[in-house]
Amino acid sequence: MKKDLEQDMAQDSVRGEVTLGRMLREARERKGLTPAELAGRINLDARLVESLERDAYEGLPDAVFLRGYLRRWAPMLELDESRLLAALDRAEGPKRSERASARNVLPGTPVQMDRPRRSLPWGWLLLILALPAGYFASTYLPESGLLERFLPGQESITPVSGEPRLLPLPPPPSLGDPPPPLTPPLAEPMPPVESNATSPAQSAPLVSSAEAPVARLPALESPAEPEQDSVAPGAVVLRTSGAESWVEVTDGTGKRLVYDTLKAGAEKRVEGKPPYDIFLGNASAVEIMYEGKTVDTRSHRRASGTARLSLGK
Amino acid sequence: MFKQIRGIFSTDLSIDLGTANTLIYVKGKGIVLDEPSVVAIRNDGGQRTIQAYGTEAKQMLGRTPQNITAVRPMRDGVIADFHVTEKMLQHFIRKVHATHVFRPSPRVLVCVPVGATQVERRAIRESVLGAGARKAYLIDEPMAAAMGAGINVDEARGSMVVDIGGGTSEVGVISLDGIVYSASVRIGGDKFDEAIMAYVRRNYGMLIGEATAERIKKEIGCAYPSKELLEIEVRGRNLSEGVPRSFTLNSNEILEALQEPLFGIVQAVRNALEQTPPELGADIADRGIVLTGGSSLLRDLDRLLMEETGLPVLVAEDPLTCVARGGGKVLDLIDERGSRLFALE
Repeated sequence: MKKDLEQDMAQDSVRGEVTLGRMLREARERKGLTPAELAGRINLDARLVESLERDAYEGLPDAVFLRGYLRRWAPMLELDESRLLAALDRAEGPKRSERASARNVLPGTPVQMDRPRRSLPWGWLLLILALPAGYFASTYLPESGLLERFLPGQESITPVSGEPRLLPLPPPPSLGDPPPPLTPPLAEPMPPVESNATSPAQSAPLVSSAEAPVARLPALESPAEPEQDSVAPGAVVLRTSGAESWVEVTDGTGKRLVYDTLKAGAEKRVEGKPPYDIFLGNASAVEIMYEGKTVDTRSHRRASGTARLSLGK
Repeated sequence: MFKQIRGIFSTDLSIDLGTANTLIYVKGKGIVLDEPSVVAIRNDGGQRTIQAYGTEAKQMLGRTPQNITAVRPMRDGVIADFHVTEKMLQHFIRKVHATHVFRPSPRVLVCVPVGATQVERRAIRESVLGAGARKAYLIDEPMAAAMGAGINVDEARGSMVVDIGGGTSEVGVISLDGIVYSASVRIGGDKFDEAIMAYVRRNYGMLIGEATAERIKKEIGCAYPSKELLEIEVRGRNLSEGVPRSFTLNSNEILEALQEPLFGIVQAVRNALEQTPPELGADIADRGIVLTGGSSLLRDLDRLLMEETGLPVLVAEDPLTCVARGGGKVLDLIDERGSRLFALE
């Protein structure tokens, strides 16, 4: 009997017509069972068997359950388990994908509030690229002065301890420049740049414009021109040791020659028209040489550690 | 920091750290490791070194000389020997990543019995982190088992899963991605083996080892009387004579031997059904109870539960790997839906 059934179904499958429902119904009828009896053998409801036999999968349990039922029925009905499961897969295939897509648009689907963390490897890649860039920036930018050029406001923050007069942002260039008509196009776009004398990008346009203020030029040269080794008369050399210090130097014409923080161990030479008005933010860290002699700043120091003095009067 | 960088070169793992077997599921690759949770330790004058892991060590169980002990670091589903478990996990995680140049540091999801205490959970978490994981998630076994069996846990329908493992049996009722009821009894394959050993000693006056008891259980063990009578010939030591002898056992005897642990499991399922809210109970009665875990392969165990509860009971496909596969599905969903779902810790 089993053989007949198998042959029958094999023929059906060749024609591509055999369905799970038909397999079940034929096998059940051959065994002389009612749907209720077949379902009752594994404590199920008869309706489930009926809808399976009709190939109506709406409202039936998940595939995992159906497969479990079929595996139990297969020996009872003397059917091949793998054939039953394969038939179920064929029938379930379209149904399952329908159900999955339905679930995706279900209004109750939880909406993820957190940002997905899938992009982690890309984050690392970016970080790996950013590391050399950061190294370049920290190594070359402070030296070249590019950083200050892009962040002009920062320099007024460091030095001002106890000296409220310096707190306001750098004054507009026209205030400090006695010959304002000489520098109309250049002074406007780069107001606070006076201290950045070493920036090559900046010095180029200044020099090329030829009519730039004479007072500015000495400030431009300092470390870039090593041939001026001997201390020229009237030059002031500022040397910091141990700690950094804010330094401001104005010459006799009222021109500001230095307006900057000197790093520890730095040396700066300025030339201008005496007398010089010098303000040091951290006086104990700065040594001043004027006309080849060390200037004693101790008598000028204030309680806050700053010092203001005049040279060359 | 370094763990995170190494994490790029690691694959996420889901580990079913079981009493009997440890399974590791890797995203996209499936089950890549299935080895007994056994470690052989060599003790040379106070210095302990690890001789073998997994399958190799299991063959040594009960067959070791004095200076080697084959131990099972997990007992009753939880860590009994913290240090050895950590070493074993480390070995397995490395084995899975054998082809990688870098030392792996994966995200690891471990399935723990619902009955595990906070201290035991912490021990498992520390072991996993100690084994080099960059992040450790813990998930309750019934949830992982349900997902691994293929149940749609996000529906508003109750499903009951009974995961019968080596050390514990877990019963869980799940609905809407959460566990409604769960219970754990410390009965599993190990208890079956012990029951068989005790039965043989009592009725035959013979001593058999754990490995032999397990073989008897796998070959002729059954949970419900059947028409077919199976027999097996085994060898053990006769207690009165003190010499090895061979004798024959049949499946009805084993059924008798297993009565006590089986009753414990049936009782746990009944309790769960009693405690389940009625709506979910109706769903379970409609569709049935799903069995997972290696011990659910015991012959006719589903039949026993079906007769005892009057509900449909079915064994999931590939029940041994359900928990590990379910953990893998959860790992996939963590990225999508965050780690607060699925009762993760």
